[in-house]
Amino acid sequence: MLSHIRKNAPYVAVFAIAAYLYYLARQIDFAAPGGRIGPDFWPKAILLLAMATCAYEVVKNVFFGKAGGELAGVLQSIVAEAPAEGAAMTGEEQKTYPHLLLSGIAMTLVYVLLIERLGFFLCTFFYLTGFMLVGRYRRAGVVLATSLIGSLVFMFVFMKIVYVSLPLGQTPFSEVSFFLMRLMGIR
Amino acid sequence: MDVVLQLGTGFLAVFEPVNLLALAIGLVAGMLVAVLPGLTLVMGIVLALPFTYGMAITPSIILLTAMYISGTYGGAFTAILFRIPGEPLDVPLLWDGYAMAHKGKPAKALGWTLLAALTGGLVSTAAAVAMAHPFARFALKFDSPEYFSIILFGLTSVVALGGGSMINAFISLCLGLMLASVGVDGIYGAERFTFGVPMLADGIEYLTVMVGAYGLGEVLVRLEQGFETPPLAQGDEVSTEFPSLREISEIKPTLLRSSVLGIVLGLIPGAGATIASFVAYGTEAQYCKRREQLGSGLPEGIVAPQTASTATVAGHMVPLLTLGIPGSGATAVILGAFLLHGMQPGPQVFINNSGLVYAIFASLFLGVIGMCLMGYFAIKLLIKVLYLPEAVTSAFVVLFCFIGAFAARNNLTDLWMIVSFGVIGYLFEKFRFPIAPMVLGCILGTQAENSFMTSMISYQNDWTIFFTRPISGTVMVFVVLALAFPAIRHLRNEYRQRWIAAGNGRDA
Repeated sequence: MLSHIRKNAPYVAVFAIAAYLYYLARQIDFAAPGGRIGPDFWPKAILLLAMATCAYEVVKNVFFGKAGGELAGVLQSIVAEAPAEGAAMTGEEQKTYPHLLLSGIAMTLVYVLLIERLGFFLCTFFYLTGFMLVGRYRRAGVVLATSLIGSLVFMFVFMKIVYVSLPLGQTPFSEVSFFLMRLMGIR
Repeated sequence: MDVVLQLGTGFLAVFEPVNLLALAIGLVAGMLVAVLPGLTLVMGIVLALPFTYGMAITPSIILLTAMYISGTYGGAFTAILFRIPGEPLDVPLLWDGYAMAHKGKPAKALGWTLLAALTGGLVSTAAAVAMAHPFARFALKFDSPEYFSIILFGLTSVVALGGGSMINAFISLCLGLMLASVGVDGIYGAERFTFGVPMLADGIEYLTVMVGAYGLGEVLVRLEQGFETPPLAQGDEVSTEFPSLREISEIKPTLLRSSVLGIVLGLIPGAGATIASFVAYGTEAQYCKRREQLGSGLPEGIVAPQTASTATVAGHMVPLLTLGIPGSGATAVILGAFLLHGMQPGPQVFINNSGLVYAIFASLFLGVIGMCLMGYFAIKLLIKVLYLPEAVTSAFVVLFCFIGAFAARNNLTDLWMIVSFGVIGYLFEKFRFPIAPMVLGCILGTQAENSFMTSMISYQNDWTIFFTRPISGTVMVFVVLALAFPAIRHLRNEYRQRWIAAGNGRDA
């Protein structure tokens, strides 16, 4: 039962989103001269196709299960017909670490949230350090050195050479950015 | 004669120090990206894009195309020596390349890949040079129905030719097309799916989708796996042994078949180097003289995928330059670079920018030779990057993703977009939805919709126009064939299995 729900969940979710967007598409405001199709036609057509495909897949999974088969792309069938070594393509079951994934996503969200306040250099330094540690790399000296050098090099290259105005941060953190900019000769 | 002269001028342009430097950097970067298991070729090219913002258009495009071409070759080393395919397109090299290396002939296996990359690259570039100008002249006759049918063919090809479920690929494509329809529509000026967010009125940048889904998404997948890479075998004795002339003459048919396949598949939008690599291997499994030995370390099994995958690069450049239609993720990024520098590729390109076009072709010739020289002399040094801790490289990949997206519009909202598409990319991987159709749908969606709407307006909503005009009608037949082919193949396989199950297999 649980595997059934898990298998159909993405299609149900896409169907629900598409249905909501279809509802929004019906409210698109436009004035088309008589007889012409409007700007709602294209998205509506795509959404209907997406909904129909999702409905087909759910019905197939629920009523026919494995007997319904799977229509695979050409590449898939070539791999299936290839020598036994081709198993490498399909990949073996690998151990997963969901807590690492969640920590990585959380850190990335915090980075985007704080970059305007802390400025590029400080925020990037902390992010790089944190990400390497979350990624189970434990040589503290290397982590700190690469994070520091990496943040400085990125700041120099993109602000001095490529002319991208990276976020400087708010006071008092912006003082660090200004100090480094003076040091690097960035105006 | 004119083409030779123009190409000569193109070579002179590439020999300018800045362009030559861009070429060299592109070749090295492409090789490194292909060698590192956590980085894909498209991802690498996306990440290199922000560095081109401050450059002139010629070195920018040369850098990205050089990365693209050397990226199709670099992964062969890790596939053959360590059984780690740097890119999905290198997977067929595991079957015969690794088998040959395992038999104690790694240098020979590397020699075959070098020959294959050299032949595929040079033959396809020569073919692209010969085809591009006549193709552009022909494309001048195209109207909106032709453009729509060609784009539709590209979109259906990516669904039909890919790996995994076609249903999932189709849903992924629909999502991409929907993303492209966000914002103010080009014909009526109506706002669609903007949810009151001013930035969405400009639409969703396809580069943001690519960077998020390919870059951050892949890093998140690897992070969930704990950045675990298989232990590496000893790689100190890396050398390349070029095959003899007699050996080369024995596999001439394979070289020819695979080069032609690579060029043809390169011309089809949606069919990338990975598909070419697998199809070429599959073709050898059917037509090669020693096909029963395939998988045991046969040169044909190494040469076919490598030749075809390298040959697609020049093939892909033809629709990109002459129609403005990118056929793969990598060419989509290159199109992005063109647009960022204020140039729209298309049928007029030979009238307005022929110098740049021939410089690109010349850089492809030099790039192929350069990457082979690099593969021969410097590979020992390049594969050292395999020993870099993946947590460190991945942290920098995420940083590149952010800067790349931020630099394009100087807007922090794009960073939120990246994170969103990163999570979507991760979920796609998790639930086995391919990312490529979504990305291609997002890239080609606007062009598809505009050409469809223009056709409908010009021909009074007569949808049969796509089938009744000679060129678009022919392409539409290919669209139907592309969709029907996997279904026919599926039915044929089921019939064969039933036939075997019925007890007829013994006689087969």
